[in-house]
Amino acid sequence: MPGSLPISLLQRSSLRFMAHHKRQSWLTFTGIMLGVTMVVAVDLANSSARRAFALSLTSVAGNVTHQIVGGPLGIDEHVYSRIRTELAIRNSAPMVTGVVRIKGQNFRLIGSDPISEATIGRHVLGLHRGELKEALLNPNAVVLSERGANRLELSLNQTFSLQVTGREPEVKLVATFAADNPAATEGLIFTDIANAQTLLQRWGRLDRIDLVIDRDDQLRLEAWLPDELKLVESDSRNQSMQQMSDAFHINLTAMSLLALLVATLLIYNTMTLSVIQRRRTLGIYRTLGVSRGEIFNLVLSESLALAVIASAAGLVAGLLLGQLLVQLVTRTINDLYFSLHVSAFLIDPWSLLKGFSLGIVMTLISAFLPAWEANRTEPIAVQQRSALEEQWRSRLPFFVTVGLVFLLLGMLLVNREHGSLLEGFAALTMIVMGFCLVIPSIVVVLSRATILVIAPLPYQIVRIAIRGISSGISRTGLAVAALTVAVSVTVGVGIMVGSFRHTVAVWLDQALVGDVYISPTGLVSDDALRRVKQQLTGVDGIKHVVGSRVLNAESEFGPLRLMARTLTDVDTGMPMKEAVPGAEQLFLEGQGVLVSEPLAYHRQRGPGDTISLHTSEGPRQFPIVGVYFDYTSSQGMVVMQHELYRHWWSDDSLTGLTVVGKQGVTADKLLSETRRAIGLDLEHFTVISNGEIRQVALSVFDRTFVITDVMRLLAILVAAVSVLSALIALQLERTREFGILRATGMTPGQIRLMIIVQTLLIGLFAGLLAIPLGLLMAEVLIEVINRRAFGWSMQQTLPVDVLIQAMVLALGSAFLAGLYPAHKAATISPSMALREE
Amino acid sequence: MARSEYILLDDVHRTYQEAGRSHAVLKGLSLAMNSGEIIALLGRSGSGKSTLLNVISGIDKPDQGQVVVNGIDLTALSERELTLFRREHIGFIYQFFNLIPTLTARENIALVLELNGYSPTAVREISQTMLAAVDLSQAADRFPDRMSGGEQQRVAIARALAHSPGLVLADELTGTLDAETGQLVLKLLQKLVSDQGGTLLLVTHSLAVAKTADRVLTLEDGQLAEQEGSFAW
Ligand SMILES: Nc1ncnc2c1ncn2[C@@H]1O[C@H](COP(=O)(O)OP(=O)(O)O)[C@@H](O)[C@H]1O
Ligand SMILES: [Mg+2]
Repeated sequence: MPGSLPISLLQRSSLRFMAHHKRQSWLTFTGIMLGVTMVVAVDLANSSARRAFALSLTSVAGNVTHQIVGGPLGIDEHVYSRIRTELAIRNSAPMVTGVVRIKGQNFRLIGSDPISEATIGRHVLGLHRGELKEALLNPNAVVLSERGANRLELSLNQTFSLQVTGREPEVKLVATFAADNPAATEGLIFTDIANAQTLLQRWGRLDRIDLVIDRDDQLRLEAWLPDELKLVESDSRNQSMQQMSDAFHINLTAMSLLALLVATLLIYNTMTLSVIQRRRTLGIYRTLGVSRGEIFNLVLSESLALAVIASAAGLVAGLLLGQLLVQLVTRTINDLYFSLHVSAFLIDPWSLLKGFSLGIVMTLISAFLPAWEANRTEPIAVQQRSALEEQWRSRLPFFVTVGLVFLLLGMLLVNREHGSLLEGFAALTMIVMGFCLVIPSIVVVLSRATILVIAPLPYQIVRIAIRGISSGISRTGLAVAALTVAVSVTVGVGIMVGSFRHTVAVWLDQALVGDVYISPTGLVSDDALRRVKQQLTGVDGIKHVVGSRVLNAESEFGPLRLMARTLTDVDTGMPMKEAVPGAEQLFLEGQGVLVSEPLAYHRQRGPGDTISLHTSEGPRQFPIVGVYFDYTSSQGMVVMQHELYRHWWSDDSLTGLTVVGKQGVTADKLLSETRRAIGLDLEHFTVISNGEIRQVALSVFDRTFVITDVMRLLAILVAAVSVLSALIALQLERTREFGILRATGMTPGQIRLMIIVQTLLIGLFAGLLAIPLGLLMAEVLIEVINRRAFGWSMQQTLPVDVLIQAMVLALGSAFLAGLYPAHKAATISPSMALREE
Repeated sequence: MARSEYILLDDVHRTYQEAGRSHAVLKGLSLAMNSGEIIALLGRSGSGKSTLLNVISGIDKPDQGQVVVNGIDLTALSERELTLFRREHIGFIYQFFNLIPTLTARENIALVLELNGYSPTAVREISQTMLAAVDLSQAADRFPDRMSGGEQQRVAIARALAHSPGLVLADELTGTLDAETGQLVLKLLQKLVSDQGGTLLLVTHSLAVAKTADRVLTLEDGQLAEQEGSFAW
């Protein structure tokens, strides 16, 4: 045989079928590809960001087992020498770190001692090289990663200035290094520890001491360590910081999951279509003696072949999209949490493998039913035309039952107290699948109802169009389901984001009690803010100035944000979620602390419990008198009266000032008065009004959710493709019917109109159904995913524009997807259509 | 008896349930057909001729009664065994040809050979021979939609006979062809079946066709009646 390939004739016939039905093969291909693209892109973006984050931690933390950390003032460096001499623990390295600005960009300055670094075997920085050691011993010598130096356009031995603690000392770039992972070290600048202490003006102090020690050493150290210091395991530190970034990724994962569900519907749809179209052929096979098993395998291997090619294409597209997403993700992480540079796009083979296998598994799962349908094909001699639709129709009650069970299980999972995040995802999947199974029955009911409504009208064409929906329910049901899910994703996510934004906006109003906020730009000396506070007291228009101190404090749960404030009225600025009776008084008297909602949720602590914080005098339990709403950090925050903080931490410095104006003083006037009072020092401080903070906060919020828009867009794209494929399927099956209609005198225009009416109805049904499903989805996203991941509660709102948008989207994409099939059906030649059989 | 009975149907019943009403098509039908025999089956439309062919080929199962083909009791076979039986022993020809649209003429013929596990060489040779036998060597690589009805039916005949099945079932194979083409196709079929020594059961409406058969049976009221071989013309 010419061009004979080592494949069977059955397979060859399949290949030709796919080649002849290019549109359809493309649709299936596109469905699988888009699904894989989304999963891979989100996953790569996540893992790039996460890995860069983890690496920048390791590049600082190395493979140390423990760290000694101190209070707000750090660690006296004598502690370090005593550990080496008195305790003879040699595997230890001191470190001083702080934020500096170079050419307007933030960098983390890391001061370390090259010789001790060697003892704990920290390689990441390449500090073990002799020449580097030499270089670092020169005063004011710094080292940057190659990439960092490039970014700053600095060349070797060039001198440049750093902005730090209100000064601009000159430093010299003595070396650059090529890091294994450029992304992790790009935002770091290294120098000798003594240099760092000078640059940061922290003479004689260390930020931490990294250790590689065993259990014995650990016990000895714990016994020996002064009270104000704490020995922590390095892992637990990393983990608690890791959690914050993980939380963010979870929302994205939820979205790629939804996208994948939509893609599955599409694949199922197109595979079914290809089976149905070949019903005759499959029937002939059966007559010729091809067994059911062989037909089942044939259809499955067809989809497998498609899945492999399409998944591979999905990987490529996912890589491209991932590049875009990684930028969005890291920008969000920067905004939300800390400065992180991820310019290197890490291609994680696991992500690729995951996306690829997911594409194949999803395809096989969604092809399973069509393959089953194919294997039930009767030999051609006993085939009956309408049997398929009848079979489908008889299965509807079964679908509804299973769907309701899924929905019920999903709802049960949603409402479980403190269920895991995985359960949240499972609930989401079940609710969506359950809903999909119920959709065809609802569509049948809806179209019957519509027929009744239009019964008195003489529009035959509309009547035929609606009948077509219920009589072709195996196709139209799918089209409606796919479109419903996609649109409901935008409804659900829209409501979630809208509610979130609303909650944050309301919260900002409550939390921003001051009129003007002052914080240092970069680093200033400890007493700078106290000076400003004095300067502001008594200034015209200012009622009072409150100082606050925010720092990272060690707790039983690892590092936490601790805020010390002088509050006169506990209700202002701390919207309370729950509290013990008389909480206000207790707090003001320094009898207890407030914890933020995420902290309370994640650690399951509430009013009446205590929390252990590491004070200058060692660990101490503080009673929790209330839980307040807080959306600034998912890491968790503890607030205490300033007096209480001073008592336990012996620290009198401030990190921020809140200015409250007198009644009737405008914000502008207050701002300018404040600025004038600060005078020359102004350049070292950010003076910002209540309104500006609000605006900045909300714009950060909006940027955070840009990425969700991208995902919504993709979901809609997949849905439009699946509606298109369902409509084409419908049209192909009806070729003969259209032929008859044409032969009996229906004009092409009327046929076109009929199909457009049909698709608009499909869009309308999908839009209507997407609203309840979207509301359910929002509920899950808000109550389960966000709460379980971030610990934030939200007031659910129902933005009308989201609903209108959903309707427009459903009708619009259905209409667009209907144009081509309408055109095809209208241009069918009646004689051709009738000749077939 | 010199020739063995190739088909033996005894008291076969087949009733269809449709819309709650039962409709008996075959009512205690019996048939004995010898190997190498050619039988023409007559009967009004809807009398159950196709149903009978389906029962004989194992596509449909009788509600009651025995179906033995080539010594194999079909009623005792599983779905899969029936499929394999059909693959090996039966050749089917239909009014609407039922060729695989995505395979060429040659490949349509090769398909049954491949299914029956013939070696690639044998598949190539036999399909070549069969194409020549139906005089379509020049159309070997054409797809069904590029062939006339008569040509398609000749491919269908070649496909039905390629693996030398013991039994060929032809259901109104001339129904969509013009009279002349129909005659030619029919002659070809009868010749090829005789050459192979095969058995042929032929459903037809044409008395002229029936005349060329060894025996003529009429299906009426769910039973078979022998039509004595003497037609008036
Ligand atoms: N699968 C089926 N289900 C229900 N009724 C059937 C089925 N197949 C055939 N019939 C009915 O059985 C009767 C005989 O059909 P058939 O054997 O095709 O007749 P013939 O081939 O003689 O024209 C017809 O009335 C037909 O409607
Ligand atoms: Mg018939």
